[in-house]
Amino acid sequence: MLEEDAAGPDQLGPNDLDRQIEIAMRCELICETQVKSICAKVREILIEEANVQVIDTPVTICGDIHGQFHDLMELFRVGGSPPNTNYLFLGDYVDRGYNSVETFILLMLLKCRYPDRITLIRGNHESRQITQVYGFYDECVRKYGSGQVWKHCTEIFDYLSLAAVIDGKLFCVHGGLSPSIATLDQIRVLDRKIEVPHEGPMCDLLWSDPEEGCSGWGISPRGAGYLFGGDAAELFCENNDFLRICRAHQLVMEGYKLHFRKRVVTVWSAPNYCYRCGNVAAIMEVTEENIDSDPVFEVFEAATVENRGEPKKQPIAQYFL
Amino acid sequence: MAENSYKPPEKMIKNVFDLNPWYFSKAYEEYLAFLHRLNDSVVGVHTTADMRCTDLVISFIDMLDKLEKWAEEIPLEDVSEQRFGNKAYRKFYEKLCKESPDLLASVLPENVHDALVELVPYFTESFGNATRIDYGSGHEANFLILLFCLQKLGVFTENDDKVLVLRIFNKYLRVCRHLQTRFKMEPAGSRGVHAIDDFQFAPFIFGSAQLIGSKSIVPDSYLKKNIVETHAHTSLFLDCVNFINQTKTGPFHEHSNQLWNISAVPHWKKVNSGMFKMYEGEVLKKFPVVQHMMFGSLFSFDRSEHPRESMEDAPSQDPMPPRAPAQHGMFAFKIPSAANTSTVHSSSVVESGDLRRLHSEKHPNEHCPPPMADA
Repeated sequence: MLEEDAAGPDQLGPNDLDRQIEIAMRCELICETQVKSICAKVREILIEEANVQVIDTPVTICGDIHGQFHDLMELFRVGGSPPNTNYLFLGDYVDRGYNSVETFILLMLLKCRYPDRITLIRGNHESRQITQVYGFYDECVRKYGSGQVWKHCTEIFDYLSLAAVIDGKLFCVHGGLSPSIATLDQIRVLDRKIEVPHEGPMCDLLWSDPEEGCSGWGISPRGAGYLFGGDAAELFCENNDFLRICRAHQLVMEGYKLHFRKRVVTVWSAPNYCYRCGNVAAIMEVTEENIDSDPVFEVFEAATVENRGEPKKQPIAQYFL
Repeated sequence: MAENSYKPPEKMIKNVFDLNPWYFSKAYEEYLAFLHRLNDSVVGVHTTADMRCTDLVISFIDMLDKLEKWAEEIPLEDVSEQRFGNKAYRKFYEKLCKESPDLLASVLPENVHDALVELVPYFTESFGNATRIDYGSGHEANFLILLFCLQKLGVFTENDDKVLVLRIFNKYLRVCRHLQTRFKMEPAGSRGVHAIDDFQFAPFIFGSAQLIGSKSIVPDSYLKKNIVETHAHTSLFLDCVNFINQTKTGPFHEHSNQLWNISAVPHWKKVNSGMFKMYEGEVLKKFPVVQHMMFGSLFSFDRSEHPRESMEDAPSQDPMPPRAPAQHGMFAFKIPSAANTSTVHSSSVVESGDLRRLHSEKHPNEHCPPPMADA
């Protein structure tokens, strides 16, 4: 269902945003014209943000969402609604799930409305190449009839920050580390407003994984990024005076996982991933009081399935007509 | 094949620009023709139909049975130490790699043992990735490529096509399901609700062919769980839907939206031809999947000697391989072939052009090709 907004397309004041957020929170589509305006506004905000965004506590860190809109609502129920809770999302908002477009538009709206209370960084799926393979493009075409909304959204992907640092102590990134990055300055100098390259430091930040038993750096079976060992994580933390690295990118049965004696944390926020994995999801709650202690997680399960209605059947025309 | 020098197969698709030579390679052409032959052989054939199995086929199935026993014997590791997949899978994979040369050598005839160096990697890479403990349609493709190579070597003939699908490939599927379930394998490169399935693709192709001509089951039927359960043993398609029903939670129209959509296609013939196009479009033409493919002398990256343009212009002149008569076999073969020919030709040119233009518009000074990798 498309909602038409009476206001001019270029005007998005707080009241307009609140109205759009209300619509988006119901998992209803925002019309293409409004999506374009939202993208223009969020770009203005993101363009001012750094490659490494500096964040203060308190903040709640969220892992992969992958278009699981109703589970994102469950996350807000558990963690608190914006703006009452500050959020840092570690990327992978889209692809795989049924509601990537509703999810990303909602997060953009929240960013527009509460720019200092919600931080969005980039995941490996925030990419034109990847979203043409893993579903976001297909979903935009199915729901809007063309690829224009996909085009608007993927332009925003290029403006997302690459990492975040909380109180100077927690380094937050989607994937992990890079053999090309020893200090934050090496991230700061990157030109991030591009499609994710297939190799190099920017790629590594979005694609790498920690691996127990790995020493230094190893070849990633993903085909991009690296596997990194506890020694590489330790060295990076020492060089930059970080307590911990917080990342997402990998499915965890229990929602979170501590690696390398808690130097690296994985947070995963898509419960019952692919409707089959049966995993719980987690968010990590960071406060001034607990940042120096063991990480604190809130765990949640998949949202209860209400009657969401049966969609119209649309076999992919290029294959089945 | 005496003139062949066999070598370990290696990855040749390193970036999106390697997709074009892949589309026009011998491997692409021959693999697709192989799949069509397998498909034609099972049109209207129930999985449970009687078929003669040679001693070789029985040995091959026994070999797959052995893998299943290994999976059962290897103790699972404590859940608290895992991220998701059970790390005991790595023990299975280690054993698979160690034993595969002897396993295949004991099953295959002496005269093809020289080719084992090229065959073993397709076999070991058919059952998942040990680092990530995941499985996907790329692994499935490796098993089909193994069967393709064996047919090319003369180990199997086209008389074996039906048996390859309904006995050997079917057994392979059961082994993989066992591994997926026991070791909690993660979907590799899943497209989620936008895919047919998280793990498999080919059984939906072959299984839809099996249902062509069915009087009692139309595409819409597989939305009903009782029908799927009752008839799962007759078709690989329904067997896969049954497995989805057993392993996924939530509404079918959401978690399997693509299957939901396809149920509106009126005939199994059209489902079958669509599945082939979809396999090309969503598996064979997607860099994240095919970047892991391995090429050798049997599955060759060399350019095909049959340009697509010629096939498109004069399909009747293309020498069709002889095959056993099958219900609607001719129709099922010809339509997908023609459609795939034009699809391959137009898509490969347009897609490559689009990618280059998109990339150079965005990054006029960038010399690095754009990235793609298995997520």
